[in-house]
Amino acid sequence: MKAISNIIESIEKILSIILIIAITLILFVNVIYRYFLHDPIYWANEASIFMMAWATFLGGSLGLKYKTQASITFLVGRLSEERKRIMNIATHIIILIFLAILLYISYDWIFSLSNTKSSSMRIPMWIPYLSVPVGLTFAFIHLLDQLIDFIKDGRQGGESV
Amino acid sequence: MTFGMIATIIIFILLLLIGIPISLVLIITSISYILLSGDTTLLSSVSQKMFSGIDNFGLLAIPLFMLAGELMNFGGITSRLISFAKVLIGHFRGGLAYVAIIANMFLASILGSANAQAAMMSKVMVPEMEKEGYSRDFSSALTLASSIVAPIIPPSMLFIIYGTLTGASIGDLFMAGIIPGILIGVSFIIVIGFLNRKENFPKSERGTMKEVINNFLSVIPALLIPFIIIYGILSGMFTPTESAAVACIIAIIIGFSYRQLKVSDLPEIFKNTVVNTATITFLIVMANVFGFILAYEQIPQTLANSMLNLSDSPIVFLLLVNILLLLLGAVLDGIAALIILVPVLIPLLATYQIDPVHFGVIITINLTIGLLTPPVGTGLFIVSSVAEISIERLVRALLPFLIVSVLMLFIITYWEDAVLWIPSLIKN
Repeated sequence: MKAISNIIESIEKILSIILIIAITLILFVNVIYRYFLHDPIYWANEASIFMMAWATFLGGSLGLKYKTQASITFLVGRLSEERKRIMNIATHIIILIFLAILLYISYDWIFSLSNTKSSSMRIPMWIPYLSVPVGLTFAFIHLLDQLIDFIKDGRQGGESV
Repeated sequence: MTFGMIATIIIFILLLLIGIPISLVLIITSISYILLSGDTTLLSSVSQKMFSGIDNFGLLAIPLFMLAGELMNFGGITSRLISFAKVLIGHFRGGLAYVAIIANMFLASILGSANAQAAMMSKVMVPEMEKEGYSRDFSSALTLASSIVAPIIPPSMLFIIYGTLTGASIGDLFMAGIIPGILIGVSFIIVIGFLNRKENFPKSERGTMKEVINNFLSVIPALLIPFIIIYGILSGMFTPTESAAVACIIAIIIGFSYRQLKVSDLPEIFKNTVVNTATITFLIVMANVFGFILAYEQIPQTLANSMLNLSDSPIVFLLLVNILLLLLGAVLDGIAALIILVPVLIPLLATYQIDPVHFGVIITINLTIGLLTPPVGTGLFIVSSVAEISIERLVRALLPFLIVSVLMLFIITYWEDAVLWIPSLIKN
């Protein structure tokens, strides 16, 4: 599981880097095309929004792996190491159960999509929509990997970042 | 209130307290509500709602301003701004303390996030002030306190999020932030002036004219950024969102021309940008589902009615909102609080005839103060780890600044004209 989680992490990193570069360049070039050349890139806004959706779900998954997402920690922070580990196991199980439900819902959604196309680029809508189940699947794997770590070794559980 | 609703509220609070990331708390609570209420047809909307949460052009400003900030950070802009402020005013008594405030205000006009700014400033400013004989408590408290101008002086991430949540004009919000930001900066300068008499702060050597000019020349490109952004937005050359992309390109050029930004830094910068962005946008995505459930249960309307029963005076309403937000800001991350609360509060504005732009400024200042208040103040954690000082000592030294910021919050709350003056100038 660790190996899978790490491979996914590097895929997410590479995709993130490509996405953020593409978004910045597209929007900047669009300003030049529209204001100076009077020839706006008609697909610029839509393409950048779709890429941000992918960056959000991939980055959100990375954020869960790196534990950088905002949470309330001042109560859990006071627990002893062993209690913290048990608490972490409990919270991870809760999260994984609900992520599983969410995954089911979102794959169901993707497979039941009618053949709609996006409004400016005319690409099938499953391309941006797929970011939701893919990001959540990756998040599920990262969290499952963390859960296994917590169960395996108690002592280092709190600092597996 | 139904059984399902009460159970949902309990689940929500419980999940928050056991330390589950807030974004996941929002989605887990929403799904639990749907399951408890038995109305499982709602489940099929959840995925669509997640996607539509991010399907908004305005939100693109978040990754772009994050990227601009990271690029500036690596590009050596902070230290140049500080040395410029230092040659200008460092020779006054307590000079470096004023420098911390002024440099923070400069930086605020480039960056859009108080946390990023607190981290950058405390890394440079605290050692510098200690070297000249200020206590670490005072230096870190001052640096942290002055970083709250970051989201108020444009550009501002909180304004962008507020604007996209409410439909208020982001350009107007940017303009409305200028005067409150300067007022807060000035109020801190007055605090230092008072402390100066008592503590007798040190002063630095006066800079020569040549130093002033050299330092000025080296910060010109950085100082141009806010002007380019504001001019570009006002003239219609680009939208607030696109202005962030322009800022990124300028930041890259400046970073390379200062010879501090390296190509090998870039992958790390891009990756950090995406992860930091996603901590916010992932939250927005999940909050969109949560907001959908709240609207379905007609929570905003219920709240509006009970508020109106309480009082129909906007003065009382704003007072209550401010107190509520200060309390929430102390336990909840500012952006999370903004995303959860704004959809609930917005329907009330029309009833109390409060300008949405003014309200955006109030809520932004309020939640930014939350970064400084324990137990959950992200700014506190950042500065306490960067400057190696305990939270308790930091909070004690912060107290005068905290009191003044809350005072300024109330002045800005009830002085609508000062906030809306610049936006109205531009409209005419």
